[in-house]
Order: sequence, then structure tokens, then C-alpha cells
Amino acid sequence: MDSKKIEQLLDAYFEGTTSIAEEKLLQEYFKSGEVAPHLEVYQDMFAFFATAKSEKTSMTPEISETNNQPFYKSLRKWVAVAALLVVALGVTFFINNNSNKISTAEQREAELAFEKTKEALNFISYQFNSSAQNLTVVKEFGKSTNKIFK
Amino acid sequence: MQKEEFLHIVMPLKDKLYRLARRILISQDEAEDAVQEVFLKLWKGKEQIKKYNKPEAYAMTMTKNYCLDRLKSKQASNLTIVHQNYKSNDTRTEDQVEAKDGVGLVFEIMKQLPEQQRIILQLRDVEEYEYSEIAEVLEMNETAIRVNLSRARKTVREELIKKYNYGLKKN
Repeated sequence: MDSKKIEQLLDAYFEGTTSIAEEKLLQEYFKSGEVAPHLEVYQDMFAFFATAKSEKTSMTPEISETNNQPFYKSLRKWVAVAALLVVALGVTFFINNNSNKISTAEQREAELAFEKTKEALNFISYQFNSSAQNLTVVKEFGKSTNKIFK
Repeated sequence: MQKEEFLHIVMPLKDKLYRLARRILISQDEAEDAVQEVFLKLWKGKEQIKKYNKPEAYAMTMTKNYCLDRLKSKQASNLTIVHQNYKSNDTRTEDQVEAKDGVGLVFEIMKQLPEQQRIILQLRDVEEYEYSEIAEVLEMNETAIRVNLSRARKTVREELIKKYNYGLKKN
């Protein structure tokens, strides 16, 4: 290819104004091996791009969760489930325990109140009975007055 | 999305992503790690990839961001910089072979470029992306890309001319 044309393309190239097609022309020119001596200095640059283009990696990325750290991932899941269970059990146990305590305390209080009431009622009835015994005297008194005022 | 479908979309991009990662991170091992990471990320967000009409641009952007993050964290930690120095003394034989010819020389020159310019040069001159596509990957406007590309190409040229003249004088 005409080296004048190539020089023009190179100027545009270094200004960043060439199109992809024009850059391909430059690539082809420097690959051809028939490079004008004064342009040889650019040969390495384009040779580098050509080499870099064909660079490949031999590694194969792995993406599957099952392939990638399967133990770790499933373990995490199960640990989460286990933790949830522990928390749930703990909470229910705590609530149960606490409510039991509350009920026994209430029960005791109620029993105490019951005993007190019973005691009080017994006391009242005892007093009532003994007072009622005393009333027999009044009865006798009533009889005697009836006899007198017939 | 099924695994097969996902792989069908993403696997053909493997080498492109690798080349970009290698251009940014230089080290082959790190580039491969980066590709692996990006694939995992893509797989995790696999429902999102459908929304993009060009999964390639999406994957390239992700790779670029991941690699730049890697670079940042590497520069932030002293330990890895020491490690890097150690590495540069003990480069792979493959790299040593590359460094001997002119192509290796350009490879060395490209290492000196700022990351942004390196990425643009890679996308344009190696992957042959249109400016609009580069703009999409880099989330930059096309004018800025042209300016950076021109700068990158000129730097490579200047360095090559320097080395070339040195070679001529030496002979």
C-alpha cells in the first residue's frame, strides 16, 4: 500500500480520529511485512495489538453454587435454619417458663386469699354461734315475761 | 435463568474479560482470579444481566471496576507491594520471552500508562470497540475517550521512538 496514505492514516490514528475500518487497514499494512523503513518503528505497536488480540486464558471460570464451595454454602443455610430453631425454641420455652411462674404466684396468692377468707368466715360463724347460745337466755327471759303478763 | 443459558451468554466473553483484567492487573494469576470473581458476580446477579441489551458491556464494566478496586486495595496495603516487588524479580518465563522482542517492549511501555489510558487502548486497539461502546463500558463521554486514547497512543509512540533510536545508536 502507498506509504503516503499510511502516513496520513497514522497521523489521524495518533489524534484518535480514525475509524475501526481505517485502523484495520493499518493493522493489515504492518502485518504484511512490506513496511517502509521510516515506518518500521510503529510495527511493534501493531504487532503488539495483534498478539494481545489472540491472548487467551486456559482457566475455566466456575459459577455453579454446587460446584463452588458446596459445603460452605449448604452449611451456611443449615446453620441459619438451626439458629432459627434454637431462637424459636428458646423464646417459647422462656415464655412458657415465665407464664408458669406467673400462674404459680397467682395461685399461691389466690390460695392465701382463700385460706384467709375461710378463716375469717370460720371466725364469724364461731362468733355467731357463741352469740346465738347467749340468746337462749333471752328466750328464757321471754318465756318468763309471757308467764307474767298473760 | 438456567446455568446453561447463562454460560451460553457469558462463556464467550471469558477471554475478553481476561485480557482486560490482565491489562489492568498485569499479573496473569491475578487476572484469572479477577475473571473468576466477575463470573461469580455475574452469576449472582444473573437476573440483572437480562435487563442489559448488551451483556458484554455490562460484564466489561464489572471487570474494569473489580480490577481497579483490586489495584486500589493493593496499593493501600504495604504487604502486597513488597510481594509485588518480589514478583517482578521473578517473572514468569513467558513474560521474560515477551520482554525480549518488540512486542514485549510495547507490553512494558503499556504498563507505564495510567490505568484509564491502558483500558481505553485495550478496548479500542485490541478489542476494536467503537467509541460509543467504550463510552458505555467506562461510563465516560466519547470526547474524553478520544483525548485519552490519543494521549495513550502518542505515549507509546514516543517511548518506541526513544527505544528505537537508542537501538540504532547502539548498533
